[in-house]
Order: sequence, then structure tokens, then C-alpha cells
Amino acid sequence: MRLALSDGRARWVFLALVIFAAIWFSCESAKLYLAARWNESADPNQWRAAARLEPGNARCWEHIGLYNQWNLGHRNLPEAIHGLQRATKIDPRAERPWLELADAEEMQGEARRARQAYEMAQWDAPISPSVAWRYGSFLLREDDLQEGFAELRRALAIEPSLEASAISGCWTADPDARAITDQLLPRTSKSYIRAISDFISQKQTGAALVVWGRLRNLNQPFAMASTIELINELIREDHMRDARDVWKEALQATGWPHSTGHDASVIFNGGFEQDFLNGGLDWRESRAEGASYAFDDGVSHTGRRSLHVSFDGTANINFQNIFQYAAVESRHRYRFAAFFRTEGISTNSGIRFEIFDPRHPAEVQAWTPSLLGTNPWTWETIDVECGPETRMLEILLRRTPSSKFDNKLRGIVWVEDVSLVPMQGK
Amino acid sequence: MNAIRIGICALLAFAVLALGGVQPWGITILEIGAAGLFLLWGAVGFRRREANIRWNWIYLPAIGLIALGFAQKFFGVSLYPYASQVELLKWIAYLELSFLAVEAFRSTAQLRGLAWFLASLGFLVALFAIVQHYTFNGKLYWFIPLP
Repeated sequence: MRLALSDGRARWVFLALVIFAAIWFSCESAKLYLAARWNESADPNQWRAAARLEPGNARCWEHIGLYNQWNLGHRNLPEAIHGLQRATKIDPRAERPWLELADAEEMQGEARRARQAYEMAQWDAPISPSVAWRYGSFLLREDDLQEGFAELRRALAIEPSLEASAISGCWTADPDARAITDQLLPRTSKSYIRAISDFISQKQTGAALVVWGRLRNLNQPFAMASTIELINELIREDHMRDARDVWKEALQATGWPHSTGHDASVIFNGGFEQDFLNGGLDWRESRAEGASYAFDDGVSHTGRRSLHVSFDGTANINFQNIFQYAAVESRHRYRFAAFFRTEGISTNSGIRFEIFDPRHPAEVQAWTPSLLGTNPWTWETIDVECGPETRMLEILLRRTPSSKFDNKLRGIVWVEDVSLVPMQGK
Repeated sequence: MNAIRIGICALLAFAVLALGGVQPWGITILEIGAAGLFLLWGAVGFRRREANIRWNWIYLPAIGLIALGFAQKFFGVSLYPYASQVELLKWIAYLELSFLAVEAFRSTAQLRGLAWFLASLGFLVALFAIVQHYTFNGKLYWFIPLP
């Protein structure tokens, strides 16, 4: 298309139109830039100037609203609400201004309006965990527990990392572990295990046991190791009966290898056929200078392997690094037994088992004989009588330091078939 | 027209190098630059006493989006009119640049020159990206902190 601009009038009109279009366009663009720049500044006066320059920019009004809401020195809630209402009117599909408006309305004591604002935010962002979280927290503050739990549950379903905070908030609003488990937590084993851990960290072992009960009934797989924290806590709080029950249930639910009934021993994994869980009612281990241990598939008394502890002769070791807690009945007699095999155990202080009540040491304290030198598989046994307060015994593989000049321990010991069997009659 | 051709190339290079022209200042310079070049095109037409405007199908998508933006803005159907306005200005700038490129690059030699410029710019940006990758200190161009 050829525009002939030979006519003076057409030529000037053409130039005027081009100049007008270029200037209008440049001014519009510059206005947007200035408003954006002022809105990003740290000066509230510039935010107001930005809102005046571009009154259609919702972010400017939101900024002004938030400033008036959170300026603790000069808080002005009516101005904050005005700014946020304007932001929500201009951009009703953005959930953030609705959330902030709800917050400001709640601060102002307008719970009904706050609820409406939260509902608008949720309508805008139905799968946003932060909206569900803030709405749920508001409902808890309003004592609407059932709705609040439901909202928080929605948040947790999308953002599981909020679980600890959710449990803490709900517990403060309503310390009912059953309600929290049934109405708040997603029905997954992962979620329940996290909840158990959270309750334990809040020293709410009773609530953790409630969640444990639900976890068992869930019929979803979970790892044996994930139950150890609860059992350790029950042991620490001296709830040995609960610890034993949870231990047995966990073995059953997780399918962790264990003897099924005919073995009366209260010691778990006495044949060292499974790796240590390092907690609960299994063996626990820790590193020791001058000693190392492993499972020996080449040497066993019964079964397929034994525990192999080797001392390298570099230390007069005070060895107490492999032990197990066993749940027992008070005023009952037990027979402890273990098989040892040794090779070149030096010094005058050898390896043996110590059986004692860690909470009431005066009630039970027994030692098997100390083995020195080289011995074939040797059966060591000792009877233990529990006191009136004894509910737990510690079974400790022990070597006490030698007082002799040549006291650095060298040699190898194999251990197997450790058992603690109740004897007939109290 | 030489000045317009150089201006178009300079704006294109700037938009790429100014962090992709997505920051408010980058967008504004692109938009005002496009308006300035449009003004220059008008002045050339005014001086030559004629404006030979050619149609190109590349205008169609930009015109369509601009029409949609205007319709949203003026019929009140935009969910957020301010965002519509921001996008509208961008599309007008893109249309301006397309229009100016069609008007300013006419001969085969001019089009070949534009193609060489774009290919060289792409090559240099890629080369720069490789250098930046191996000498990265956590900042764009070694001095602009990342958000």
C-alpha cells in the first residue's frame, strides 16, 4: 500500500498521527515502569505515588494495605483493609490479597468478613496448601475444630512438611489424639509415622501410642526401623509393658524376622541371625577404640552365624558397646545363658555378660564368668532374680579394664545363642 | 532507513542481553525504543513525501492478540485489566518492530544482512553462556545477583 504524502495537509496529518502514537505509547510504557519502580522502593510515600499513577495495579494497593497492617508503630487497620479490599476488587483471582484481607479483618474483629475473604482465596486457589493452611488455622482460632481440621488436612495432603506444625497447632486447640489422627492426618503410614515422631518430640507418648494403634489398623506397609523411636521413648519413660507390646506388634506388622512363640527367651535376636536394629528391644551397638565387631558367617554354634568381636591390643578397653534391653516381670526368676568361644584373650580381665536393672541397679546385678585365653564353644549360665521394681534388664557384653601392667586387650570372642528364659515359679 | 535498520538490530540485541527483556526497565526500554524507531520511520516518510507500506502475514498473530487485548480492556471482560494493559503494550511493541523490520529490510542483501546479524548474535550469546557457565560466581554477568 502506497501512501502518497505529496499533499501538504496529508503529510502533516501523517506526521502528527505518528508522533501522537509514539508519544502515547511511550508515556503509557513509562508510566508502567515508574509505578513498578516506585512500588519496589522502600518508601511508603512512593508506594502511594505508584498507586496514584497506576490505580489499576493491584500490587500497589496490596503493598499499601500490608504496610498499614504490619507497621507496628503506626498500624492503621481501616486503611489496610481499604487497600486490600481495593486490591481484591481489581484482581479478584489472586489469592494472596484475599488472604491478607482475611488476616486484617480478623485483626479488626470481623470474623465473618475474614471467613468470607478466606473462602474467596480458596475459590481462587483450591489446591493451594498455604490457603488451606491459613484458613484452617483461622478456623481453629474460631473454635470451629471440625472444619479447621478438614482444611489443615487438605494442606497436609499437598504439603506433608507442614505436619509437625499442624499437629502442634491442633494439639493446642484440642488435645485429643484420636480426633487429630482421624480428622487431621492423611490416612497413610508415612503420615502416621511422622505424627508419632512429632508427638514424641512434644513428649506426648500417650498420643503417639494412639497414632500407633491407628497405624497398625491401616494395613499399609512401613519399615520396622520407623517404629524404633517410639519404642525407645517408651523404654526411656519406663513404660516397659507398652514398649514390649509395641515391639511385638511392630514385628508382626512389618514381617521383621523373629521367633514365633516356641522360644521363651525374652532376648531378641539372641542368635545374631539378623542385623541389629540398634534400638527398641534389639541389640544396640556403638563404636569402641581398640575393638571391632561383625557377624561371622564362618563360625557358628547353631544357626548360620555368630557375633564376632575382635580386640586389637591397642587399649585397656572398658568395653560396654553391645547391649540389649529386655522386658521382664518383677519378682520373677530368669535363667540367662550364652555360648562363648574365645581365641587368645589376653590380660586378666576377659569378656563376659553383665545383666542388671539400669533403673534399680541395687535390685539386680549379675555377671557371667570372665573367659580368658582360648576356649571352644562354652556355655555360660547364671540365674537372675528380679526385684519388686524391676521391669527391664540390660544385657551388656562387657569387659572391665584390667589393673595389671600388661593390660591391653587382644584376642577374639564369638558369642551366640544368648537367652534369658523365665523359670517356673516366682 | 539505515538508522532504523541499525536501531532494530540494537534493540533486538539489547532485549536479549538485558536479561531477556523481562525486567520492567528492559521492557520499557524495548517499548520506548520501538516507539522511537516508529517515529523515525514516520519522519522518513514525511521527508520522502510517501510511505510505501507492505502487508506481511507475520503481522496477523500480533494484530489478533492486540485486538483481543483491546476487546478485553474496553468491553470490561478482563479478569485483571492492568495485566491486560501490560501485555497489550508489549504486543504493540512487537508489532511495531515487525512492521519496521518488514519496511526497513527490503532487498535480498538487507535481509541477508539481518540473517547474519541474528545468527552472529545467537552464536555470541551461546559462546558467552559457555564462558559464564565455566566461570560462574553465582551472579549473572558476574555482578548481577540472582533472586
